[in-house]
Amino acid sequence: MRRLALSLILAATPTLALAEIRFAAMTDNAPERPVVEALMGAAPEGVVYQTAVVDLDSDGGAEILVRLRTGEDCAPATPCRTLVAQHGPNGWRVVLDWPAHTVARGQRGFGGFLSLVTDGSHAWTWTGERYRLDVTRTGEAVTFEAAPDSARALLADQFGTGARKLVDEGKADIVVGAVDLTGAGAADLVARLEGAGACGRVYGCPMRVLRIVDGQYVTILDGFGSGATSVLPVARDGHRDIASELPRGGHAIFGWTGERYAASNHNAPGARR
Amino acid sequence: MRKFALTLFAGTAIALCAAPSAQASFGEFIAATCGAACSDTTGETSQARQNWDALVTMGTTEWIGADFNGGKIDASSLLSAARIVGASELDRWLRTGQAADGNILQTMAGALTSGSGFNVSSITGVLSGLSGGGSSLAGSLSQLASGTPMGTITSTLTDSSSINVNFMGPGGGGGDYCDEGIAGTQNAAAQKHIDDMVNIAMSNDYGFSQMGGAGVGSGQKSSDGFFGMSCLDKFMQGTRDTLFRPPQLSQLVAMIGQMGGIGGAGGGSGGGGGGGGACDGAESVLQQVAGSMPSGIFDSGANGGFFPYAGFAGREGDGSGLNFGNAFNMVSNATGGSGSVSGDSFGLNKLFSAAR
Repeated sequence: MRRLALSLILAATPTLALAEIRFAAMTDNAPERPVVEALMGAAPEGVVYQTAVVDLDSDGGAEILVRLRTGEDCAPATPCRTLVAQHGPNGWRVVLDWPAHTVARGQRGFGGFLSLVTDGSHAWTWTGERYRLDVTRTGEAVTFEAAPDSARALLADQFGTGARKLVDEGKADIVVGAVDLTGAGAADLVARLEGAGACGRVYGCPMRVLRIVDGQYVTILDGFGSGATSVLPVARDGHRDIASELPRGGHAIFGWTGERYAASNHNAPGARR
Repeated sequence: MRKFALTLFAGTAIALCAAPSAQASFGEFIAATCGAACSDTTGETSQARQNWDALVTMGTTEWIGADFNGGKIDASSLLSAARIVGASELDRWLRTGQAADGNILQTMAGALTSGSGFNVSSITGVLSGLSGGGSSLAGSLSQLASGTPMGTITSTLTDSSSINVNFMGPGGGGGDYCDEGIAGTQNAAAQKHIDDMVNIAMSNDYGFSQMGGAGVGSGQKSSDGFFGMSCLDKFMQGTRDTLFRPPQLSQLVAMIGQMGGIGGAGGGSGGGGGGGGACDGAESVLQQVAGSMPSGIFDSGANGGFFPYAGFAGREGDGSGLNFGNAFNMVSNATGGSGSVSGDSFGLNKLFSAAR
């Protein structure tokens, strides 16, 4: 399917003066309709495709943003699934798939692609293959440092007996960082197991968030991370989300469930490459 | 717990006497795990060596030869799973059943099954177990590969149901995942609702009736209860039937009027004529019907439609009639799984004070 000449499409659309990208219901004769339906199929009953065409990389060709709406608007409690499709060497493909209320243009970055900002808080940057959550720009970055010797063994126990053996033999180590997840000033501890054999090529390194409860540490997050980790401005039940990069442009977002953190969303680019 | 489909690679028997090039064989492992167009075979090979070293250090290799999901765990399956989540997380799951979430668990289990049968001897120095062979042959080779008598391999994983998987507690899935405990409770409640509805529909007192008045469940016309009434009785005495609500009299009159080309006749707010002469006797029937109506029928609320669950709260707008309310206890009282958290039994306190 051929890429769409942006000039032809923009000729039919009003000038967008604001940073926020405006979506409009996709008409029957919209030039992007064949692309959207090839990627998504025909809109199911009750679902409306809204589209916006934007040249994200300034190459004269259009990228297509598609938003799936089922109601009057993207309600606060139910954001709309939003996708970005780009025409590449092998045809059209989805390079971003995220639930959002709003999408806005950000700054130009890698490859000349505009970054995107969803809901005013989540920044997405181009990796060369897809859009990736910019963990450091989206929240407050966690600064990791090597765990003190006195605590290393105890922290390793949080990752299991096997991890303890790796740490004891010097084949893995623990890095830690402090975070304030509730805004109350109390620090929780982010710990990550790193080293040869500890981390996976898809999900990255085991990561825990520990909290002092009744004088003892308990695990409130059992997950993975690789690279940057940050605390997001989005909070659930008084606890801010935690985002972490994953290998090869992936990311994971953890949200508070009421008792502990769970993976709210993650994108771990394939077991194969 | 979901069962995992076993995928064995048939026809990959390796001759004991004339092993193929070990390097070429590991290439097959890379192609299966990283992809035929893997762009970093050097990195994959290095990672595999590190993973194997970690697996040996932790003792995870004791699981080689263990039954899993209808097959056997071998060195290549351990490496396949370790490649995705890291050797330590794989070891933790095998020993404790704990995984970060259901998606991770599924991934590890899938890798253990789909990643078996490759010759990774260039990495491990031992042969992988065979697939497709007889149990005795596979067992012998597993012994040979592990160097450990089968009798000392005490851990046996049969299928996922035997694994105590600790998910992340109530609502721990979020987003794309669902906590198994909550999912089970919800499924059970949904199934109970379905069963309740079927039972009600089949019951003699409140169930559906066929045209002849016979009950769906019994096939017999009951002498009492709902089925004991004539069709007209049921039609007019809507309160006896919580599942079926007759149309408003106004609608009924309007329909009759339309049939007979009569406009606006009869009680209620029905009306609308049009048509003509389709039913010669409609007018007299209409008068008979209107005349026989109990006055209370005009006070009926909105009728029509079929909402069996809503119907159990009585007629819309009033509290009369049979009221089942929440009799079927459809309120979810799911509390989720144990959600046990790992505590720091060693009393690690004030880490930051010590660190800073």
